Amino acid sequence: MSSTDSSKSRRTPNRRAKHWIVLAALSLLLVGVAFWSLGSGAVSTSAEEVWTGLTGDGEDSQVSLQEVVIREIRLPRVISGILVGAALSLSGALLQGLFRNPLADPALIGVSSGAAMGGVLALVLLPLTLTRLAQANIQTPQALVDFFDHFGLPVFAMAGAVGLTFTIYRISLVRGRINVPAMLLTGIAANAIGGAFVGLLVTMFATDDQLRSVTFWTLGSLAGSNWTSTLHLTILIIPCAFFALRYDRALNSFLLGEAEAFHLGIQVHQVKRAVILLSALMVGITVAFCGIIGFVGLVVPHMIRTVFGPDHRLLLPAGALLGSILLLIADVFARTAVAPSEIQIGILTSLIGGPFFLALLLKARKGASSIGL
Amino acid sequence: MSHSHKQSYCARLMRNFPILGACAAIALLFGCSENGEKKSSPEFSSSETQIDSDKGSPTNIVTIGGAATEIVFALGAGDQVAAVDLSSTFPPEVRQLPQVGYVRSISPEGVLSKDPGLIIATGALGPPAAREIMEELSIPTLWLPDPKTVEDLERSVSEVAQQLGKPEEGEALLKTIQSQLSQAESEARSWSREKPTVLFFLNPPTASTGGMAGGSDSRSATLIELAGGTNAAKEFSGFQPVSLESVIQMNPDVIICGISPGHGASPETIQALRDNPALSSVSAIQNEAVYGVPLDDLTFGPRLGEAALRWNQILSEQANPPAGNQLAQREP
Repeated sequence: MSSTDSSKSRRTPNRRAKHWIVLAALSLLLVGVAFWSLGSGAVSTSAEEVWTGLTGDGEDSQVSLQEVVIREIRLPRVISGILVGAALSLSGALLQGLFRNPLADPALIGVSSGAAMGGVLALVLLPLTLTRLAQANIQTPQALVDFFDHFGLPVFAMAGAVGLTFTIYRISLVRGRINVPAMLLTGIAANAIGGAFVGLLVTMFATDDQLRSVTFWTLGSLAGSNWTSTLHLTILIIPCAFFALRYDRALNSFLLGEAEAFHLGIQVHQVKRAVILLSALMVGITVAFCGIIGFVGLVVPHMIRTVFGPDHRLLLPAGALLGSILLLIADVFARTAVAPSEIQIGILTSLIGGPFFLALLLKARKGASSIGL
Repeated sequence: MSHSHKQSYCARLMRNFPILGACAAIALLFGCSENGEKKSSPEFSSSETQIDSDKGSPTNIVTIGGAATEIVFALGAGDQVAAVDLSSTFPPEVRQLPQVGYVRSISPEGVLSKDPGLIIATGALGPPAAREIMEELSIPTLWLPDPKTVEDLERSVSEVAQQLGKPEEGEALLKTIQSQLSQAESEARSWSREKPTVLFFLNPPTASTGGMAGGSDSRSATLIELAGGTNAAKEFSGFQPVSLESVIQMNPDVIICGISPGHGASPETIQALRDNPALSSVSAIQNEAVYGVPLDDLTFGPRLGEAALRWNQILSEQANPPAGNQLAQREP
């Protein structure tokens, strides 16, 4: 994962081996949870059926209901869950490294709201603009229309997230230091404005069906996963995650402070820009496809840090794996708790994450952690 | 954060994350108790979905959407229905049937778990992702229009009748609906005064909040036309919240509220509307023309003709010199 360097931390072969053991264990756990997730749902399926559903027997003339369900409904959903969980944890860990504060969660500091604003803008205004242009007899190139049909939503959501993250960062940076109350308050304002904006656009322009999908924007769900959306998610998230993992050492030096990182030879400005961009892109993508799923980016990195310490070389990859694991578990609950209906997964993550956040604050009051409030 | 490396990872995790420990315990319990009854699974052909019309009438039908359910029951095929959705409330016996969730938030897997031989669903089925999945999979599904007009209803009835192999019953049902609608129409033509303006409330205004009123392009607007009135709310389409001031400004001759257990109006809220001093200048209040109707008049199922006649009778009391001010029939 990283080349040799001796100045930042004492890296012994022992520690390196430990990292690999942890990652291997988490990977195994993820595979197990993925199988469990494939085997649970409203339709009861046996382990054997999960296997045939995955491998297929090539004879596609007569397929059992169980196989169809596993291959066409659950498998894309599980893959989406893995990608989204990893993206959320990674963006949470990146933001926390950047802000040097464990409270930075994408949904909490308003990044997700920015993405939702962009997303709803695309949902409501793109079709409207196209019809207006058509009414005015202005030809729009077909390629452009096709592009917006497929990628308008994620592109707008990513743009909203990126814009908002930069804004929040600029506002909370006071004389070269991150001002945590400013960061959290900006998040509150961003969430309020975002919520109002979504509500306004929807009441003004939306059709009934769009109106009904507003809950989707405020409380996320993986229910929309199909092979197409999973493919898009893969194309968009894998590169972001790959680049994010390469900033592990830079973020380690950020732990000391920006000036110190600069003196260690880190391109501080370049790193900051890249980290903001990557975390915002990942949040934007997940919001576009699954709505706002809160608190995963807060809870997961914190768990890894508590157990294995703050080294980003382990925190980022292990966080990604654990994020996938937890999101898959939450999704199984979402699918089975009130079967044959579903709960929105965002409700579950907030149910668990909200108290968790409060616990963090209470701990901080006792002076047990470095939240900076 | 101070870490004592003497502790095991597990102990550290459990000490710091009691919530997670609790969740893990619940998850384990859940996992163990999840041994549903397994049914024999039907065979699907994974080619393009073609509903096999030679197979005769399918059993194990899942109907999604109030109109779809009512049509199947009205055609006398109710005993073939295995499960319905939450929006299906009529006839009363459907409440005993298993539920597959609400029509607008359907989980495809939940529907499949009921092992359907045929799914009959209205276009209201959502979310879009669920619809896509159901269309992609080879589940025999009959998609009906989300009924907003008489034509939609007629098309739905003929399609379901054809699918269930009950063409005569379908014809008879269509005739009944047609005759009820034309009866309402001819009644409206005989009125001595001009068409009354009608405002329909999904939720009536209270002292503190405005109500949800039906604008143009809503089912209530269509029903008002069928009953021989004109819709008072023309400025917006669909159902939108309106303020008390807008109600005063629209000044409808008649106000109709949808009554249902659970949501919509209740006799108490309708009485509160009549007694609201802010609205005392409105014609409907002065004429004592505030009525409650069953909310499922808006289902646009086989009882659409009945609904049109009921609304027509209400309007008749206003458009023809009153023959005693009796309230419209209320169904419990």
